[in-house]
Amino acid sequence: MVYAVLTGLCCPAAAQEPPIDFNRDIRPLLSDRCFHCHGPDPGTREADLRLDQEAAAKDSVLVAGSAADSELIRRILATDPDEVMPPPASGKSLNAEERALLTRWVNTGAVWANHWSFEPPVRPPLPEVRQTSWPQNPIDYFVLAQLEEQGLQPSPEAEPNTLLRRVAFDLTGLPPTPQLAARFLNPESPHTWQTVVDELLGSEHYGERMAMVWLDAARYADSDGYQADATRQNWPWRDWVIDAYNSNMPFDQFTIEQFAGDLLPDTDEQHILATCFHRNHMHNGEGGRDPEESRVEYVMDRVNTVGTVWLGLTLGCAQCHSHKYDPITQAEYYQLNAFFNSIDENGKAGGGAGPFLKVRSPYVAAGLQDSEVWLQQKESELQQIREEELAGFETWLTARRQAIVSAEGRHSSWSGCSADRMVTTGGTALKQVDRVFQVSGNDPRHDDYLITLSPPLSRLTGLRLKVLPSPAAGGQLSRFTDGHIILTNLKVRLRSADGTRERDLTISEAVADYQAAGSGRIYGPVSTVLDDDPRTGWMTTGSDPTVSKTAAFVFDQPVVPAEGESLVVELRQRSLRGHSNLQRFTLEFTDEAGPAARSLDRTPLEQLADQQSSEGSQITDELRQQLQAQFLADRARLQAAEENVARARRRRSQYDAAGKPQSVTVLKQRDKPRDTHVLVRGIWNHRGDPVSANLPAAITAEGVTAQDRLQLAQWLVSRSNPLTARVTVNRYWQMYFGHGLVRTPDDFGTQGEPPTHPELLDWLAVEFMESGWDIKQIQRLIVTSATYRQSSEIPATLLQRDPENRLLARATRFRLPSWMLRDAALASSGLLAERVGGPPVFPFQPEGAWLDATMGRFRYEPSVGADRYRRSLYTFWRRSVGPTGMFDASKRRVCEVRSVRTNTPLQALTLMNDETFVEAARQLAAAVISLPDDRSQITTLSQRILLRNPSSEELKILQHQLQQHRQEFTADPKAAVQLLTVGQTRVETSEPKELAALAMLATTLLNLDEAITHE
Amino acid sequence: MDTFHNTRRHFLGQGTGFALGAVALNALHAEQNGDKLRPATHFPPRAKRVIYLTQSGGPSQIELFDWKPGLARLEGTMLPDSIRNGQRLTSMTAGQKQIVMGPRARFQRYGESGATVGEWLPHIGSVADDLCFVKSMHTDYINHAPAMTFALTGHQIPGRPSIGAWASYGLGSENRNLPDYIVLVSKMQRPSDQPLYEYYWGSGFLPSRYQGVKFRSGSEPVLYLNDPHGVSRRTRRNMLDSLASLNQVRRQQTGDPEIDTRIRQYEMSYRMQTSVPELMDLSDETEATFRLYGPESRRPGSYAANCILARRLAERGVRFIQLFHPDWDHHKKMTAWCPDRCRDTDQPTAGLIRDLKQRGLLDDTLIVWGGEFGRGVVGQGDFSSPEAGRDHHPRCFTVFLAGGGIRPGLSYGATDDYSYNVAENGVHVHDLQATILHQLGIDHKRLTYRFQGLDMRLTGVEEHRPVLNIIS
Repeated sequence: MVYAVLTGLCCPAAAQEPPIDFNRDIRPLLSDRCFHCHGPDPGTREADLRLDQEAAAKDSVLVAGSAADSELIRRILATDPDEVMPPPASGKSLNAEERALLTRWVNTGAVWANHWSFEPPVRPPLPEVRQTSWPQNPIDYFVLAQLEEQGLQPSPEAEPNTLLRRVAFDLTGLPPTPQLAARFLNPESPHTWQTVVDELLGSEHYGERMAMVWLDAARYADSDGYQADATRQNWPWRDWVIDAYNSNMPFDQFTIEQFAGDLLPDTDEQHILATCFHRNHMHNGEGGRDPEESRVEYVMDRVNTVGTVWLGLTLGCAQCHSHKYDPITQAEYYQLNAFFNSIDENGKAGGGAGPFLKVRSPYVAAGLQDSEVWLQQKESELQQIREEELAGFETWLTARRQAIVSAEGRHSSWSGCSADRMVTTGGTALKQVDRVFQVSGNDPRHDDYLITLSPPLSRLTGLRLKVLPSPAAGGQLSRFTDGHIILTNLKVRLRSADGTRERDLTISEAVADYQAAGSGRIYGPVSTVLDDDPRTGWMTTGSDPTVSKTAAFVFDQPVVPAEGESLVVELRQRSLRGHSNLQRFTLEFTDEAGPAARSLDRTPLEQLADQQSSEGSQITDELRQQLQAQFLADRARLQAAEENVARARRRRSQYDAAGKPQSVTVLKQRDKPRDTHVLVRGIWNHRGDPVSANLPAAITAEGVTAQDRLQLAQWLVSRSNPLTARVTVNRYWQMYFGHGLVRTPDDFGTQGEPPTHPELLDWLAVEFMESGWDIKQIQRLIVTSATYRQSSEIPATLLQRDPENRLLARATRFRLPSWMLRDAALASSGLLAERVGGPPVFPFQPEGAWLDATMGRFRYEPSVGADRYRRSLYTFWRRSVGPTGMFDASKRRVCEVRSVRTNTPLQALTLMNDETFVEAARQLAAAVISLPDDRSQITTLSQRILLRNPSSEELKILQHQLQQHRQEFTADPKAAVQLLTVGQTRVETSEPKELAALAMLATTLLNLDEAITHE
Repeated sequence: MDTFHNTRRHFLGQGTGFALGAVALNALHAEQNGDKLRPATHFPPRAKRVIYLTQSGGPSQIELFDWKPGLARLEGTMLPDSIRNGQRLTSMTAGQKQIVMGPRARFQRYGESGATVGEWLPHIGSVADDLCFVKSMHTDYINHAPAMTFALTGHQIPGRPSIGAWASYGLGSENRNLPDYIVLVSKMQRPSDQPLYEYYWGSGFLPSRYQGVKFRSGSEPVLYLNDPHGVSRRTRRNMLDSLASLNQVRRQQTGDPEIDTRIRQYEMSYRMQTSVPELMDLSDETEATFRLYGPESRRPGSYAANCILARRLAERGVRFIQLFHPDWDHHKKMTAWCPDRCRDTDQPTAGLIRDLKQRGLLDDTLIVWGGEFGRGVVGQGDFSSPEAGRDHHPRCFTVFLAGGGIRPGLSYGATDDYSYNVAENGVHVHDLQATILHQLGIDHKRLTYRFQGLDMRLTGVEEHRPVLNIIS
């Protein structure tokens, strides 16, 4: 029908009726409207009638040449709602045009044909064309012939800069290097299109670009995908893929190694590594799940992936019942399962997900060295800052001692508080007498105390809770029989002056002078009051219940309340045993940092006061050390430097770990094969008839069979397989034209779209096979065609005539994938770290972006050093929540081969505000700031991003913008400095406002439609 | 862009496409024209929007809603085989004796309807006359991820659009400054055992503009919403003006209408930078409102604060608002653990219903409260110890609905004496999904999308229908 629409568009005036092509015109109609009830699936077949087979149809309801005698035509033309087919309730009714088409088809002989994609491709002859000067290679004959038939002209060749950007993105996923641009765009240069293409195909970035697409198809990720989403170590396989593409491994070998590297007669480590392809699926380790259910799911996932990637068939539809549209029976689906059913696996996840290959990666050394250098640098920075800061210690100490002297030798680090408001939830009453909180009333099982108070100090570093014995509890801490308390949670919040907002204050440390022993989810350790879990908490059982207990809580950052802000302290007592509630207690705050805030007894300054009064000016070394620790804990610069060292150490140890043998999930046959059964309705433990490994009859040549994975792979890449070559070249075509020749790259079945250029597809498929499955060769052929080199501009007439560019009268404009945009920004700004391979990296992403999805169990820490600027291919990919900036990316849960392109405001926000893009813009600005004038700065930026000079109109717009930004940053110089400190790199400049203004200009250019579009 | 054309062609290509996809097609045209939407629905909608209060982990119907007066007397007895009737168990309890554990909460009857609600949910009890309890819910899956995926996307394997994406696809937005489908996740301090996968609000095979956008608490509610430090509103405005002019130049040169859309999206991003912070800022709410939603409502990221935001989103015409509250998976320590989640959610949920009602919004806002499955009557662990809890149970659980044309004060469906099997008027997960779409004016059988050659829909291929008996 798509064709019908297209034909209608293209030949509005055509009066004579075009010849009917069964596969193009009739099969899609029958498939869509009839097969559901009269097709391959016996489960839903009505009236025992099949219309998917010629013989069955002609034996019953079709009389070739005579619509009048054909029951099928009588029924589709019937007006009685009980008679007419398809039944109105099915929602599949035929319209008048479609009814006429079917009638004409029967009257003209009801010519039948096998579904086009199930017949092996045959190389068609090149069609005749009139404009013989246009074609550059055979591809162009097929495209031009169709254009000429439609009365259309191909578009002129694109501008050289556009063309160069296009081909560089297509073959390497990166913009062209300035060197390549200089060579190609210089009219004097002998650099031809062929040499450009060869240079790009020879770049190591070629393999990275191809791998990115393959990882989507292979549903590759760095985590298991379910529940805790455990991290896995399959990345050496990712590097195997890059290597395979860069060495131009033929596609048949590429296939065989990934299916059956372990079964090859000369198998080696690399061959086995390749089989990780079929183990990249998700692993489900959810508690309570039957591992066998998961194992069965994995097997199906492999079959479905084979269906999508090699056969272009929706095999998964046959899991529960025979396929409704394509001739794949349910039994055949499980015969394919049998190839993968005897892997030595047990359905477990994480460390239990074997079989594993222990393999050492050759791609770690460079990163290891890098991380070592970075660590040394950070350590020496720390050393220096520490020395600088320590210089101030003696002065500080002297000042403290003088303060103590002037306070007559007294010092108190802790300040009590008086509450403004006290609320309980258990029906009790809370009041404060002489700073002591006292509870009265009944003894509820659970009780929360909510205390609102004005901050007693202008800065807060810690809180101390003293639990006191109470007469009401018989002189014990609580009214529970053992006299002990359980505090399940403690929360401290800062409430805004207007009372509409409360912010949790993060407590980084909790200590107590006594806590019941134990670990795990039990009551005891005081640190568990921070976990928001009523099943844990601070318990004092085991000590003397008549003696008070003290706990101290340290804020992770000093808190400086603003005017009017108040503190809310919440004590939750929600334990399982209950009735263990505090009866009397005090709350105190301190503003002293380091050891003072966690002291349960005398703080360092209090000890200083004690020692001064008793022993004159002598203080012990131990105290001096504590005072020094307190002093240093308050130096923000030093804290930052220490954090930098800690991060550098973590990165260093990541590389240490990556240098050890990695556990990659691979294929291995188990000793005793499993029996395979049809699963009734696809349910994992509902076993039906036994089946053994076999190929689907409808797409397998007579006499061809396969018994194991190796033979399955060999069949996939054999000349007799009708689908693999077509499906594969179609995916390559999609990379360059935005769409495949078949626009449903995952469905070459009867419900998929027919090819826009069937002969071209077959020609390419045969060429691909006969070239020895040479991937680079077929790509070279495509990008050196005249078809590829057309302009992507869309004349209004063409937009109306062929808005989706099905006829290829032009190149297609489409937005580049988000990963390419990030890589391009890094490359054009000079930030890109070009190293190939190695363990996954963690680029910048907003703080806390993964928090919800990782259940707090995974801390995302952006990589430091060069790893922050690696290509997106190497980004750590967690399945439960993807990398934040990669919009429209595959989900990496199941195999995906369709490219998704949407256009949303969230994408605009990402490209304007993601730190990586802002940093890139600033680096671009830094590269041009020393140029003499606006014009040369703007021109150079334009060259770096767009590979061209701005037009005079564009130049005017950009100059005006630059002028405005200069004024803005002159008016607010601080803003300029802020913008310049985004990111990891620092640029020294004496003109921050100039640099900031240029950075805004660069960000504008990076966001241009032209910059983000495959033109 | 390309997905737009694809989608559109799917409808046109079906011949009967206008009947099948009228709702969605309308949305797409409007998107293309940049018009404010006037959606055409299959039948007159009773609800203009949905607030789905998703309780993740499987709240226990036995302690919360499904009162069985005789169950306490059965405590300690073996679950009869006739009741279990072959029910599959998770591997957590498959190996233990199936001994009945009575309800661990007391129950009370509320309001004129006399609805039974457990003692841990007094506020929800107090609005029971506005609620419709469906006590006969059942699902096909017994583990969290498949069951939640099923409850939200209609299929147990990830990859389908979530119900919010379907609604947004079918109806479009009433507000051009906010996404159609917004997700708010409670911020918890302790790690939860059931992750909230992004695909729970994903668009599956639908174009990704229909996916839920998660708003976060804190200084940046939407990822990348904030301009970089040092970029003022004026700087951004000037930058966008220049960007639009340059894109216009390219539009003239290339003739590509997609550039018009791009310019509009950049402008919408600018408007969102104002509309989202304004939405998230609760400083214009009254003290009475905070009291209504409870003590946690001042804390951004809490379920209570998210309930206030849900009302603000409803006021702004957002179609589908989905809250997620995790940690209802109470295998152990039922009497400490379950009340904690009740405290988080009880007062805010009731507050939301009262607030919508007093503002006249409840009539056209459909509230749904529920999780992915229920919990079993058998005690997990030693039933007589306070340590005991309950395992997952797919055969029956309770959800409640309110507003949006649902009959208030109704308890629909019933379970057997063990709260184990549905005894009458069973409601399958797909029936509930059909009901939600029905209230929005959508026939669940006619909201379809062509994917891999099939006309996909939320409610799958088996026969399911909206529960007309609970509609007023």
